[in-house]
Amino acid sequence: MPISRMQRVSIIAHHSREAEIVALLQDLGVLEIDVTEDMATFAEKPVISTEELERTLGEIRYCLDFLNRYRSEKPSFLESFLPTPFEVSKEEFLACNFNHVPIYRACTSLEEKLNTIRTTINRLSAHLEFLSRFEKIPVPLEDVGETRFTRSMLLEVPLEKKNLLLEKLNERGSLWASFEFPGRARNVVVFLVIHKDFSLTCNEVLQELGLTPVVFSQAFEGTPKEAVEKLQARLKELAKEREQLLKKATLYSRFERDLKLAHDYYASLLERRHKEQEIFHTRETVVISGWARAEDVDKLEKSLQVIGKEWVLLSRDPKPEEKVPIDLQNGPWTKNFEVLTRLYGLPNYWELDPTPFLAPFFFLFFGICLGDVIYGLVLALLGFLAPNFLGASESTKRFFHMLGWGGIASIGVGIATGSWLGDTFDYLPGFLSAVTQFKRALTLIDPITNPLPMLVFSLLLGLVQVLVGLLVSFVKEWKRRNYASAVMDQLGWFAFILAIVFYLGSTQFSFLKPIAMPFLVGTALFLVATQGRQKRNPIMKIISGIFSLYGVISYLGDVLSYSRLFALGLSSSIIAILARTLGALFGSSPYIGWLIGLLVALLFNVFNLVMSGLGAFVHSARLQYVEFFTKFYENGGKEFQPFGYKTKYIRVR
Amino acid sequence: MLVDGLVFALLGSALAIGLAGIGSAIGVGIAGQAGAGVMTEDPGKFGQVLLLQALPGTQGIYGLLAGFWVLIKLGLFGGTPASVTVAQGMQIMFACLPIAIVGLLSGIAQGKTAAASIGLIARRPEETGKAIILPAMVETYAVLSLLATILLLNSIKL
Repeated sequence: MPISRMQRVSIIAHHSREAEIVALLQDLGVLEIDVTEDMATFAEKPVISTEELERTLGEIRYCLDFLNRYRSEKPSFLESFLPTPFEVSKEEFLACNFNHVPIYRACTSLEEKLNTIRTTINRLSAHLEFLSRFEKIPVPLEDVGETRFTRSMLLEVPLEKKNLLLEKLNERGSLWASFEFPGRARNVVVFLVIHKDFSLTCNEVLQELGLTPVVFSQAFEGTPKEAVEKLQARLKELAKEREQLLKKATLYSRFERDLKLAHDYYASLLERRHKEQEIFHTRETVVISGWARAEDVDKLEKSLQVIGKEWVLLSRDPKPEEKVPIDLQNGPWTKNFEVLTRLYGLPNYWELDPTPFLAPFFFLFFGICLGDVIYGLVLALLGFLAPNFLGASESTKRFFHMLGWGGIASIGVGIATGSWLGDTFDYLPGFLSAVTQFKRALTLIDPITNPLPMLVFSLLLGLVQVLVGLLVSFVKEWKRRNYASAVMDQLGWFAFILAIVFYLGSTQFSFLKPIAMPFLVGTALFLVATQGRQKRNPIMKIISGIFSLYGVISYLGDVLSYSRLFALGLSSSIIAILARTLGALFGSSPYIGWLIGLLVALLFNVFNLVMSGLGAFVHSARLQYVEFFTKFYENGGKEFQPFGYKTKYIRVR
Repeated sequence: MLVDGLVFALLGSALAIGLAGIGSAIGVGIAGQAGAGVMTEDPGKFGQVLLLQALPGTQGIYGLLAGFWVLIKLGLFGGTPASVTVAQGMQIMFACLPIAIVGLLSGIAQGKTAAASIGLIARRPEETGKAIILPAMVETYAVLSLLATILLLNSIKL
């Protein structure tokens, strides 16, 4: 029974018991609460304030984010890919009363200080950059300005304009003096002192040349050099201060566990409040209705006994028009492949779960596409061992196990095709020649020297899967009592394709000869006779029946699509051979050549494993989705998500 | 005579590796740009984005594979190089063309599809599975052309 049987459950209770019951339901985690549309319109929804909870959650999230940003040790690459929740006992979870407020306050004040320091550093750095343009000038900056009779200014003049400036000033008068200092790039810094009477003339000259005196955004003291030094000292101080604050920030990471626990606790609480709002209320009662697995209903009823007597539980089977949530239940092996069904979309409750059908095919296809003993071994080890080290969630674990099984299939295919890191095992040093012999003895066929059998095998696999798809579809239609469609469409095509195969096979196997032709003609006539049944006009019936035979093209296309299995399998072997060849090429050079050769070969093989593994997954999945599912499968189900504790960082034991 | 045939065969090998490689490089580049855009919003999507970006990379591998197969066939890695007539050399070159041409164009097309899929997971991360299948549909034709190249090469007798 790959899809769990569901029951519609309604609990009607006196509203004094509401909070207790909802809390209990969350603890049990077996009921998916939903709102019946027609009831919802009548519901007098109580306004429960969730603001407080939302604010708390927001603050905790802020703290976690803060800790994350300023943590001393960054999480490893793998951890950021697969964040692992930690386990917490139910007692500890429910007893959570962690006060996050002091930490929140500390975090915000730290953040504020850090922000101030950052903006100050930015501002000072800009000043520093500006001042360093005038570093060579020995004039104290406070002296640039006005006295009773004079005005002084700094000018940044391009080298080629400098003489022009001096000439022009000379032409107009002599109430001025200038000093030149080297500036940045192709500029000269001119310190110009003028008598105030000369001011207007001087401005004219400057305007003609397009020059403006340097304006300081802030009053600096001392020569530019001194000012720069002062700024640098201040920046150093700030950096130190920042360092200390950062160190302080990392200290708070010891509260991380508590914060995460509190986050999940409050998130669950909030979830419960939201549910309470959705529940249907009358003046005296509450009605909680939803879906539960059939086997859980008794457990649910028993657990409710704890709560007084002011309730009643009703359950019934789902009706065909209802949208029932889906809970897949597969055997210990097939459940590893559930992820593929989930990726495509879950089945409708009244449909069948395609997982048991696709699992063996995917297993085999993945094996053929990767098709190498050593790669398979690596993948199997990774798939079966890695989840234990990571403490991964159930779904991640299953995904890894699926890859592991793919690795095992790949080992099998690799042995049969003699691909052990491509042909690397043919070039083992002399003392390992027994291994080479062993490998060769196991090899059934080498697709590199003799590719056709493997190609034909891939196509045959495709044929088998297409036929299985039609058969599944036939059974499905039959069960739905669409006998006509089941026999005429599904079985008709099944027989016709089989007949074509027999006919093609009869060129090879003579015992098929007597039956092949009559079988082919018979099935073709059957299709011609039945496929036009929708048409009224008898001539149109025949014509559309004949045209329907054209549909064989699409089946042919489907089967040919499986040639990718062969091509991808060959591809991973050939790239492995390439790795071996390049390794040998580098390895033949003197000194540390062998080491470089080894590294090159290793690098290529790892690359190949990753890319071929990705290709094997993607293309094996595609064959299920495009070629197999189209024959019988309709998705559109919604995952069964029972109301329970909503946890992100922890796992409640 | 030996040299002449070899020239064509090597040209075929170079075309397969080069053109398919260009296709993949452009494709991966297009997908990478889209990925970087998505990650400015949500750096946590790195894993999914990388997966999608890698998809158009296979054409380059197929091209390399075909080119390498030619080199093996010619016996250029160890052993004595086979003597290749002009006719045989040209046969090998033409055999390389399917993966060279289809690799180039499908790599680019797949890159665009991968970029669109990356846009899809930016908004609907739960649909990663479907987002991966769409670019894989494009790759079918690269696989088929690789198949054609392999079968053609295999049928040429040296």
